[in-house]
Amino acid sequence: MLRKFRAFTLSLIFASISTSVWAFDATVVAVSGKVEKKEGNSWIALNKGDKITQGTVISTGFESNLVFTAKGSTVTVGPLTRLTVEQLVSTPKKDSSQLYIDSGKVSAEVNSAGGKQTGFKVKSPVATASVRGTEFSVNSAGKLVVKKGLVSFTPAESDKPVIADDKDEEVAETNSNADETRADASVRVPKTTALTSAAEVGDDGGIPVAAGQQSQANGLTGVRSSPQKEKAAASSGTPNNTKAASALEAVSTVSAAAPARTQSTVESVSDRTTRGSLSITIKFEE
Amino acid sequence: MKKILTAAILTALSFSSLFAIEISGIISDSSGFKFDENSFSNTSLSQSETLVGDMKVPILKNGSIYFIGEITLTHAASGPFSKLSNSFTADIALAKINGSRKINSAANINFAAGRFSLSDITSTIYSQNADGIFGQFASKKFESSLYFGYTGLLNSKIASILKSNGDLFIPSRSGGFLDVYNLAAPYAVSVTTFSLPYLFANQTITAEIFGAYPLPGIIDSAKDKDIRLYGTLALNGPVMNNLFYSASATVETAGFDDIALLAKANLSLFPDLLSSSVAASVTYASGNNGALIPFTSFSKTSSTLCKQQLSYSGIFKAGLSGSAVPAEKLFCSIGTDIVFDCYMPGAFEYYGTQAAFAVNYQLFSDVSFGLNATSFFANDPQYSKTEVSVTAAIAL
Repeated sequence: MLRKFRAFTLSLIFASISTSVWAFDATVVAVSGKVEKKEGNSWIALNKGDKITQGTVISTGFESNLVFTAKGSTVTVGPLTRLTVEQLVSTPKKDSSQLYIDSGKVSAEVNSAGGKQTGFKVKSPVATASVRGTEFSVNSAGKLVVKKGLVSFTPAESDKPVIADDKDEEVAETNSNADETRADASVRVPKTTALTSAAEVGDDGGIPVAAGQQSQANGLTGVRSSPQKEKAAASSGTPNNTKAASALEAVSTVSAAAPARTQSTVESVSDRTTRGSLSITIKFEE
Repeated sequence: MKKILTAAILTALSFSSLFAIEISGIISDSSGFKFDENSFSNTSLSQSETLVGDMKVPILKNGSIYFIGEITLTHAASGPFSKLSNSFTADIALAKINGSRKINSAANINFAAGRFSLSDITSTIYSQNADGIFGQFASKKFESSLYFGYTGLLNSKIASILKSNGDLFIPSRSGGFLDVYNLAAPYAVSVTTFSLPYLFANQTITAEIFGAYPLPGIIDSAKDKDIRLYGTLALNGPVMNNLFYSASATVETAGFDDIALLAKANLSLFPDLLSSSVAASVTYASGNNGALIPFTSFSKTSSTLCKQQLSYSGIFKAGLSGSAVPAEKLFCSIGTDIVFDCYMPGAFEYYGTQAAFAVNYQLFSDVSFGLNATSFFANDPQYSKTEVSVTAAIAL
């Protein structure tokens, strides 16, 4: 009888451990300039060694920076940034972190800790970046630059921060159970290439932005440009201060995922040669 | 009195966004020298002055829906120094209402109505203004757009349209010193596009149909007889993190009797050095090749820099190009193509080599200087041409 009771108790304990969800704290490792967190209606300074909990709102001033670690990931918060820590949750299989930036810029180097799967998401009013095992930066205006790994760049999930509650913890637990069959493969962060689908990092339907690529979300439409289009734009070097509105407002039928008008250098130079110009732009704004 | 005052206040509030009108203007001057047959003895001048006026009016306060318009007045003088010809052109280059709206977090629609420029997916078949309406739906996994336009009210001095036989449309009213606006060939055009972004291995596949239907115009003019249809299938995507490609194949039919082919491919590399790019491209437009007939685009687009300004018909072109930003605010580009003539049955003859070079320096945010040079070395020297221009742009 006692053996049966002991076995039953142990099985209950093991069951609770395997399905348990708990919040964890992030730790401040470096502070420069004016960095504060909100407590109630007041702001108090953040210092090295301080703990950052789920729900913390952080603000950095001019020429100020904050670096904190969340499990195996390192987050750098740039100057003039307002950041909300929406979620810092762990399960036996996965560590999940979720940040929301109202303004400013955040860079992150995301790594797994303790051999667990890592989910890391940065949300803004314009777009959402979901990553796993990567290094990237994103700002509130929707500019994403990836240095290492793969980021799934999806439309904005909300226009304001949403702090995780118990319901979200249940969702995290559900997700961790669903990922159980892939747990072993995902502990070793898979090598990603330009051909790796955004679904590999958990968010199907997002634009895959690989290392060395970037994307920009449109604030009005939420449309995210393709890495191919961003590369072509970055290398075009053409200033548009003196371009007529008819050229800037031209409509294209190509998908946002396709490159902009494909024109060889020979054709584009020919266009410049025949057009001009000494241009004076006079603007009247009322 | 109260009712009048309330109505006036409500009217003013509803139109409050209209008071954020943005008006701008551009005065531009272009001076270029052309050397026909690459000889200094055949030098001609290409001079033009253009006045451009823009106006943008937001309809919604957030700017998601707005009206924008533009008019242009141009004087051009061109030809040998001893015999310059002058012409004046006036045009309504832009007059459209443009808008975009999110449906939910994963989809949005864009629309435009009025006069605006539109390009097809190849930017070779159709790339010009028209009066029409455009609508686009975009979601995570599917994008679609639809466009209907009419060309009969355009200025033919700006919009050059080719007939189905490849001849340039010449309006029945033309010439004259003060002939500033001649109505263009009357066509109804439509563009229907379906796209599946990041379908497999992050590749995007796009299918597009362009149609041109000859219609009666306001002024009687010789019009085309054939309905033209162009069906295009395009693929684009990454090969590696910094290496991308795009490829398309277009089948043209006029009157459903014969077919012509246009094929384009481009491979672009973007090294992490000096914001540079290197691209290799190849283009084939069918001539009288076997079962194919000569390809004819709708908008007149020059395929080469030669004196004849050949359109995309019966040519094979392959080339390399590159660009870089070697120093802050300094942009350089260079490119070269080799051109083969395959218009006649069984022909594939070397036609010439072309090269282009451009340097642009942005002195301040509103001041830039540029040097552009293009040259075509034809197998037959009479078709060679070199053109050099120096540009300066000032925004106030």
